[in-house]
Amino acid sequence: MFGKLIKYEMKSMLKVFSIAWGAILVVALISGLSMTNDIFVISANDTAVNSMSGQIAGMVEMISTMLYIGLAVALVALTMVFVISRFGKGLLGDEGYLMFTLPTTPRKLITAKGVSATIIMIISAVVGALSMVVFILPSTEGVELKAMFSFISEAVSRYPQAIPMVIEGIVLAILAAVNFIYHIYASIAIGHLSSKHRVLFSVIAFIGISVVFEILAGLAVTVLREFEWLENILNNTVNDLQGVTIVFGMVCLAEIAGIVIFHIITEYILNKKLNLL
Amino acid sequence: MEWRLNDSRPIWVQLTEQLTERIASGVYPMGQKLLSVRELASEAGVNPNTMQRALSQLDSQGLTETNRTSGRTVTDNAEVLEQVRKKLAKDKIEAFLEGMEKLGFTRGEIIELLKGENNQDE
Amino acid sequence: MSDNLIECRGLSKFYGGVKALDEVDLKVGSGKIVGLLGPNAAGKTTLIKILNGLLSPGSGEALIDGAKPGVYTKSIVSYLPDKMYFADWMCVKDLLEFFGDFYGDFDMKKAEEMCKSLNISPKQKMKALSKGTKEKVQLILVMSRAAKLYLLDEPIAGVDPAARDYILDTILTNYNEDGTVLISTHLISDIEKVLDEAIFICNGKIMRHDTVDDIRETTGMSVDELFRAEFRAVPYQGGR
Repeated sequence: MFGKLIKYEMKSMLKVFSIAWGAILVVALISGLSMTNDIFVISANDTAVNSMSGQIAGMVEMISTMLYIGLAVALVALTMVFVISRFGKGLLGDEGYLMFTLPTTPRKLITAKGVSATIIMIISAVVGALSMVVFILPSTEGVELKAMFSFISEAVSRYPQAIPMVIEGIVLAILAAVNFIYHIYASIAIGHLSSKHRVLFSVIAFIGISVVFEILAGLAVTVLREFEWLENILNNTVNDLQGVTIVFGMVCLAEIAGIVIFHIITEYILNKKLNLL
Repeated sequence: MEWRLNDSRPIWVQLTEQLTERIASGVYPMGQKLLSVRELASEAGVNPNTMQRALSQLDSQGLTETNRTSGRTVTDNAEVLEQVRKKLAKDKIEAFLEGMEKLGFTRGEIIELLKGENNQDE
Repeated sequence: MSDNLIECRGLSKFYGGVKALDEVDLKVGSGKIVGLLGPNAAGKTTLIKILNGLLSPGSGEALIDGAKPGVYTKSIVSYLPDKMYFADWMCVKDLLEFFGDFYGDFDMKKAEEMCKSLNISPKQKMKALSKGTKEKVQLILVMSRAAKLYLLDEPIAGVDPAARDYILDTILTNYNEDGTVLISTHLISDIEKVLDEAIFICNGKIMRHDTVDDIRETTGMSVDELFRAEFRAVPYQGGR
C-alpha cells in the first residue's frame, strides 16, 4: 500500500520535473559552451566585440546564462509549488475524496507525500550541482576540475575525519529539507481547520511556527551555553572536528524532533478534524 | 411491448401482471427461455429483487418453470395458458362493463353497440 | 461479520454550526438497494461521509459490517461523491490502474469494456473530458468494484434524462448482489422503481425507514408522493 502511494506520488511529479531537469542541464551546457572562445572562432587580433559573430556570441552567452539562472530559480519555485499543491490540493482538495477513501491510514498518506517530495528535492539538488559542473566544465577544459579533484583527494587523505563531516553535512541538509516540507504540511493542516479562510490561516500558521521555532532554537542555544564543556567545544570548533560532529549531531536531532512534531500535528488534524469541502 | 409502471402501486404486482400478459399474448412464446432476472430487471428499469418476486409469482402460478440447467422457461402446457387467457379476458370484460355502466348504458345497449362494431369491421 | 451491513446508534454530528445529524438510529441489511431520501441539507451527505470515513462521528457510533470506519471498511466500501475527485494529471488508463492497484475487488476488464462502450479512449486526459463523461468514468470505476457497500451521493443530480437512464442501468447491472447500494438523492421519482427500501431523512433525523412495497401498499401513494406529503413546505402566501 505504502509503496503504491509513493509510486503514484512520484508519477504525479516526474513528468514535469524531468522536463525541468533536462532543460536545466541542456541550458547549462549551452551557456557553458557559449562562454568558451572555441566555438566562435575569434582570434586575438579580431576586434571581437564589434564584429557580427562576436556580437552574436556575446548575446548567446548572455541570454543562455540568464536562462540558466532563471531556470535554476524556476526549479526551486517549481519544487515549492509542487510540495504545497500536492498536499494542499492533492490531499485536502477534491482529490482528497479519492485519497482518504483508499484503504489506508492518514499516516501513510502523509508519509508517502513527504518521502516523495524529499526524493524530488534530492534529485533536484543533484541535478543542480551537476548543472553547475556542466556550466563550468567547457570553460576550464577540465584543467581546473582536475586540479580541484587532486586537491580534494589530498585534503581527504590528510584529514580523514573530514569525510564523516561531509556526510553529516549532507544528512543535515536532507533533514532540513524534510523538516521544511513537514513544516509546510503542518501549516496547511492547521489552515484546514478553518472552513473559510484556509489559505490565509495556512500562511499565518507557517509564519507562526517559524517564529516559535526560532525562539525555541534561541532558548536552546542559551541553555546549552550553560554547559561549559559544550562552550569549550563551540569555541574550538574550527580545530576540533569532533566538536563539529557533536554540534552537527545536535542540530540533526533538533531537525528530527521538528519533523516528528510536525507529523504528529498533521496526522492528528487529518485523522480527527478532516473536513473536505 | 413497453413496460408501463406506475409508482403508486407495488411494482412487483404490476410486473407480474405485465409478464402474464406477455405470456398470454405470445410475446413470450410457449417453451421459450426467459432472460435472466438481472436482464429483465435492467430492461424494465427496476430492482432485481422486485423482478425476482414477480417471476416467483409466475412460477407459483404455473406460468413458468424454473430448471437449474435450463433456467426459466415459459410453460408449454397449453391448458394453463388457455386458462390465463380466459382469466385476462374476463378481467378486461369486467372492467369494460363497469366503465360502460358508469356512463349509464344498460347491458342490452352495450350488446347492441358491440354488434354494431362487429358489423362495421366485416 | 454482523447481521447488518450498516448500523448507526445514536449518531449525532454538528457540522457547519448546525446539528447535521440528530440521534440517528439505523440498520441496513445486505443485498438491498436503499434510497436515502431527503431535501437539501437534510444530513444525507454528512451521514455518507461518516460512513466512508471522511468525517468523524460527533457522538454515538456508526458501524460498517460491524467495524468502525477505518482501513477495513474503506476496502469494502465503494464511494461515488457528487464531485470530481480524480487527480488532474491522470489519464483514463492511469485512473483505472490506480483503482486496480489499491482495490482488490476491482474488475479491470469490466471497467475497460464499459469505457470502450462509451467511446472513451484510455489515453485521454481526465481533465479534457466533458463533465458528463467525467461523471460516467467515475461511476464506471465505482461500480466495477465488487464492494459490500456502494455509497452513491446524488448520482443523478444535474444530469440529462438519457444519462440518468444510463446511470441507473449501470448501477442495476453491475452492483454486487450480495452487497448493498445506498443512493442518496432528492430526485425520488426518478429512482424509486429501483429501490428496495426508502429512508426519509430531514433535519438530521430519520423520519421513516420502510420497504418501498410497504409504502405503496399501506399508503397507496408512490414514494415520491408520500415524501412530498410529509415534507411539504408551505409556500409564503404573500401576507394574506
